[in-house]
Amino acid sequence: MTTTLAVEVTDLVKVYGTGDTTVRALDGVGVAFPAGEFTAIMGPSGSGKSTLMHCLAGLDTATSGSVRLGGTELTGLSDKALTLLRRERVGFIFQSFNLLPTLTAEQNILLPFDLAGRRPDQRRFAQVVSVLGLGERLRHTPSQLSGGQQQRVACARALLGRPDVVFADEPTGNLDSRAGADVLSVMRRSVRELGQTVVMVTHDPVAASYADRVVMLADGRIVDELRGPTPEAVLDLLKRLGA
Amino acid sequence: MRRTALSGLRPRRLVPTALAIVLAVGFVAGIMIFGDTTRAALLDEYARSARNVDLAVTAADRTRLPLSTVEEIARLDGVTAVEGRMAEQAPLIDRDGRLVTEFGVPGHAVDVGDRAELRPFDLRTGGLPQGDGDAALDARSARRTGYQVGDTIALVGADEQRHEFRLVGIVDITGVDGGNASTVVLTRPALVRLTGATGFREVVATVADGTAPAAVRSHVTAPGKVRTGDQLRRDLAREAFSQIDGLLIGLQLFAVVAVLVAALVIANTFNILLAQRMRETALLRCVGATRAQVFRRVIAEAAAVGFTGAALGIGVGLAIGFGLSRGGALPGIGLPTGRLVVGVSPVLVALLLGVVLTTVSALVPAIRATRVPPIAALRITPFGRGGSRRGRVVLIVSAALLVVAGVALTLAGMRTGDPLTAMVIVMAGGTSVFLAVLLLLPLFIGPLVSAVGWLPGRLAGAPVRLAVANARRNPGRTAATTAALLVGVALMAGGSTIAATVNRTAEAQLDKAFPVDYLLTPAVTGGDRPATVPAAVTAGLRADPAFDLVVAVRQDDAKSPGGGLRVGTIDEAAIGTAFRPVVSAGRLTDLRPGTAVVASGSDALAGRRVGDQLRLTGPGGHSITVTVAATVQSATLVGDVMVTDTDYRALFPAAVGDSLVMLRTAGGVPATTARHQIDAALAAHPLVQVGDLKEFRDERNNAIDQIVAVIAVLLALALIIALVGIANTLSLSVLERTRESALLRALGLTRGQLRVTLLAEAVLMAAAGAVVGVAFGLVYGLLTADAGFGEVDTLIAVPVGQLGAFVGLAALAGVLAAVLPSRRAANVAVVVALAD
Repeated sequence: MTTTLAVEVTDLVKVYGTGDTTVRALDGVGVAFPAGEFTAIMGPSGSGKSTLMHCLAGLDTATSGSVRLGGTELTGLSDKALTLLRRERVGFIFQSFNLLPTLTAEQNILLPFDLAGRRPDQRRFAQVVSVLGLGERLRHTPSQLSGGQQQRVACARALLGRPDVVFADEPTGNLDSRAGADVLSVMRRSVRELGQTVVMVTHDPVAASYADRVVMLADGRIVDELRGPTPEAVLDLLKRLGA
Repeated sequence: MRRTALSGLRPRRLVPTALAIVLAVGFVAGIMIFGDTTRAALLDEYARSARNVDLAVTAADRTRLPLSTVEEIARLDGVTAVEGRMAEQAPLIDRDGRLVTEFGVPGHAVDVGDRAELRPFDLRTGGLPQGDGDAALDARSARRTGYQVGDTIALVGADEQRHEFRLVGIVDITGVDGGNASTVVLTRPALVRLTGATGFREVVATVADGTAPAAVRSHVTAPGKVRTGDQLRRDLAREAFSQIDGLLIGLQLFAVVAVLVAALVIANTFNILLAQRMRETALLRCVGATRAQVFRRVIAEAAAVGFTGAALGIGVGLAIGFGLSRGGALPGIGLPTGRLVVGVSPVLVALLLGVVLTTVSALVPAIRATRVPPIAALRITPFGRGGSRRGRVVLIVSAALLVVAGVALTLAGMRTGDPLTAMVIVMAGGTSVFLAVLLLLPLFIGPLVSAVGWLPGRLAGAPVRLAVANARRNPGRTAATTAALLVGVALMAGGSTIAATVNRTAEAQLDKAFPVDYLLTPAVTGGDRPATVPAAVTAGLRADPAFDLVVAVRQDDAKSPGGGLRVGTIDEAAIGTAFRPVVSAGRLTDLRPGTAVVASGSDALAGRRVGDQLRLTGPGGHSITVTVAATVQSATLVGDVMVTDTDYRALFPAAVGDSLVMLRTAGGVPATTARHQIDAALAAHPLVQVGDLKEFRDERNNAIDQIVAVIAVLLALALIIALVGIANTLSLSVLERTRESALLRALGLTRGQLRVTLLAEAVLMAAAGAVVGVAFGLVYGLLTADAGFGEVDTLIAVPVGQLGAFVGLAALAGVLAAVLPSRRAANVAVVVALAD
C-alpha cells in the first residue's frame, strides 16, 4: 500500500530557556502521519506531546529539524506564511475555548473562510453540518450550546475546509463520556468516510482507542507505537512506560 | 490589608488612568498658574501709574481738577513732591491718514510731567519729548501703525485739524481709562495748545517717610476722588483683573469639562479592572476579607493613583500655564506676560483634585466590588453581565424624565423674550437631554456601532466584522468609553454650529441693513452732543462719480410720552434701495411730512399702531406731532422713529452734520480708487471713521474662525483624555481576550489582521461617539443660536466641513488610541496565549 504523508517530521528539537534552565521539550523526534489516518499522540505530562503538536501545526517554531506539512517545509516560514498555511491547510479542535463568544455557531464554523475572504462550497457546508447534527444550532451563540455541541461546532469548523490535517488537542478533556464519545466518533467517521487526516493529542486511553495508531512520547522522544489500539492495550503500554 | 491594597496595584494597568488624571489636573493647575502669572503681569502694568504714589486726587468723569490743585496739595504737611497729570483726547492719524481707534474710540495724549519718579510710563526706546514739537508714542500703537522714532506723526486737535509732531521715543504706558487706543506723550504746553486742556485728570503726590498717607489724605479739600497710594493700587488691581476674569471663567469651564471627562475615564477603568479582578476579590472574601476591607482596598488604590497622577499633573500644569501665558500675549489678545508665578494654592488644589477626583470616580466601582459574593471565586465564568431588568427599567425611566424635562426647558427657552435668558434656558434643557443620551447610550451604542461598521465591514471583511462584534460585546463598557469622547465632540460641534449660524445670520442682517460698500461715521469724541460727519464731506462725496449711491442719515435724541427716543431721517431716495427694513404694518412709501415710521419693538413705542399720534420734543424745546404711517419690527439704523427731512429740521433746527453716510461704489470703479477718494475727502476732516464693509466682513469671519479654533484647541484636551480612555479600555480588553486572540491567530488571523481588528474597534467606538456628539451638538447649537437671536430670523448654517473634521479627528484619536494595545496584542506568541 502506497500512502502519501500528510505530515512528516525529522530530527525535531525544541529547546526552551537558556543556560541552566534549558529544557529540551523535544529531543530529536522523527515521525510521519500518513494521509487518511487517525493518529493519537500520547505520553505522560511533560513528555512534549503538546509542543510536538504546536510545531506540527505551525503554531510554534522548532529549534532545529524539519516539519513538512502536505509537502511544504514549515521550518523558516514567516509568521504570515504560517498563519496563511494554518488558515487554509490546517484544522484545529482545542480542549476548551474553541469558539468566539461573539459569533454564532455558523459564523464560528465559517470563520477561517471569513478570514481568508473566501466562500465555502455550500454542498460541503450542508454535508458537514448534517453529519455533525448542527442544523438546529447554527444561529445559537456558544453560551447557548452545551459543551459537546460546542466541540461539534469546532469539529465542523475544522473539517469544512478539507484541510491537510486536523489537529485535536485533548478534544474531549472537558466533556462527559457520552459527549466525548460523540465527538470522537465524528472524528473517526471523518477519517473513514471523508478520508480526513486527524492527529489528536490525548492522555485518555479510551479516546486514543478511537485512533488507527497511537504514537507514544516520553521525555521528548518517540518511545513506542501501537496499531489498532484498544483501551486495554493503550493502558498496558502506559503502565510499562510509567514503570 | 494595606499590604494587599498595594499588592493589588499592577502599575502597568493603572498607567492610562494616571494619564487621564495627569492631563485633567495639569489643565486645572495650568489655568491657575496662568491666572496668577497674568494677574501679576497686569498688576505690574497697571501699577505703573501708581508707582511711588502715596496720595492721588482723581477728577470725576468729564471734569478736570483746577491747575491750582498742585499748589494746594504741595502746601499740605508731609507732602514732598506733587505732580499734575493731564490726559485729553488726541486722536492719532496713521501713515495712510486714517484715524487710529479701538472700538470706535480714538486715543489720548498725556503730558510728560516734571518728576521722573511720578511718571506713569517707562521709556522703551529713544527719548522723552523735550520741545513742543516732540512726541512719544505707546509701544502697542507704534507696532500697530509702524511708526518709528524719527518719523513725523499727526494728531487731531480740539480744532479738528491735523497737527504734526516728531516722534522721539517709544514708551510703555497703560491706556487712559483702561482704553487700548493710542497714547501719546507731549510736553505740557504742546498738550494744552493741541487739546485746549484746562486742568488735570489726576494729581499725585509723595509724602515724607514716617508720614501716614491716610493722615494727609484727610486734609485734602480739592474736588474729586482722593485716595492713598495703596487704595489707588487696590482699585487699579481690581480694574486690571477685570480684564481677564471673563477669560479665566471661560477657561475654568473648559477645565470642568476636562475634569468630567477624566472622571468618566477613571470610573470606567476601575469598573473594568475590578471586573477582571472579580475572582481575586471573591477569593479575598472567601479567606475572610470583609466588605469594608474590599472597599478600602479599592479606595486606597484609587487614592494612590490619584496622588501620583496629580504630582505629575503639576509638571504638566507648569507647561500649560507657560503656554497659555505665551498664547495670551499674542496680538489678538494682548495680555501682558511676565515671570511664571507658581503659588502654593495651585499645587495644593492639584493634589487635592487628583486624589478626590480619583477616589470619587472609583466610588461606584468600589461599591460594586463589595457586592462580589465569595462564591464567585469558584465560578468558571470570569464575570457576569451587568444590567438587570430592574436596573434597565430605572435607567429608561430616569432617561425619559430627563428628556421630558430637557425638551420642556428647551421649548420654554425658545419662547423666552430676553435672548441671554433664552440661551441659558435652552442650554440647561440641552444639558438635561445630554444626560439622558449618556444614560441611554448603552442601549443604542451597539446598533450604532453596527451601523457605522456596516460598510467598512463589507469592504474590509472579517477583521472589521470581528471588531463590530467585540465593540457590541459589552455595551456598558463601550458606552462609558465613548461617553468621554462624546462630551468633547458635542461641545465642539455645538460651538462651531453656533458660530456658523451667528456668522451667517449676522452676515445676512448686515447685507440687508447696509447694501453698500462703505460707512462713514463720526469718531466717538466724548463731547456732549452727538458727533457728526461734516456736511461738506457728504456734499463732496455726492458730487464724486466714483459713488453711485450716497445716503446720509441724521439722527438725534428726542423725548416722547413713553420715554427717550432716537429720531432720525434718511434721504428719500434710499428708502427701498439702501434702506430696506422689515415692515410689520403700513407702507414705507406713506412716509410724508407729518407722518413717521416707528419701531414697535422699542420700549417707548410699545403698542403704537398705524394711525396713532405721537408727540416728539427735541433738545431745544421744539415739538412736532406725527401720525404713524408704518411700523417696523425693531429699531433701524435710522433710529426708533423715522421722519421726513422737513419734520427733522423742525424738531432739531440746530442740526449741522450727518450721523451716518453710506456709500456704494459705482460699477467698474476699483476698491482702491474708491477708498482713495474717500481718504482724500476726509483729509481736512480727520475725525470721521471709514467703515469698509468688505474688510469688516473679513475681520468678522476671521474672528469667528479664531473663536472656533480656540474652542477646538481647549476641547482637544478633553479629546486627548477621552483618547486615553479608549486606549485604556482597549488594552484591558486585549488582556481579557488573550485566549480569544490566540484562537483567532491559530485559525488563520494574521498579525496584521489582528491589529486591524483592534484598530477598527477603537475607530468604530470613536466614530459612533463622534456621530452622536455631532448630532447632539448640531441640534442644540442651532436651538441655542436661534434662542439667542430672539426676534431676528435665524439663518441656519451647518458647518459641514468642521463637523466632518470633528468626526475625522475622533476617528484619528481612535487610531492613535489603538496603536499600543494592538501592537501588544499582536506580539503575543500564539502558543503562550493558548497555554494561559
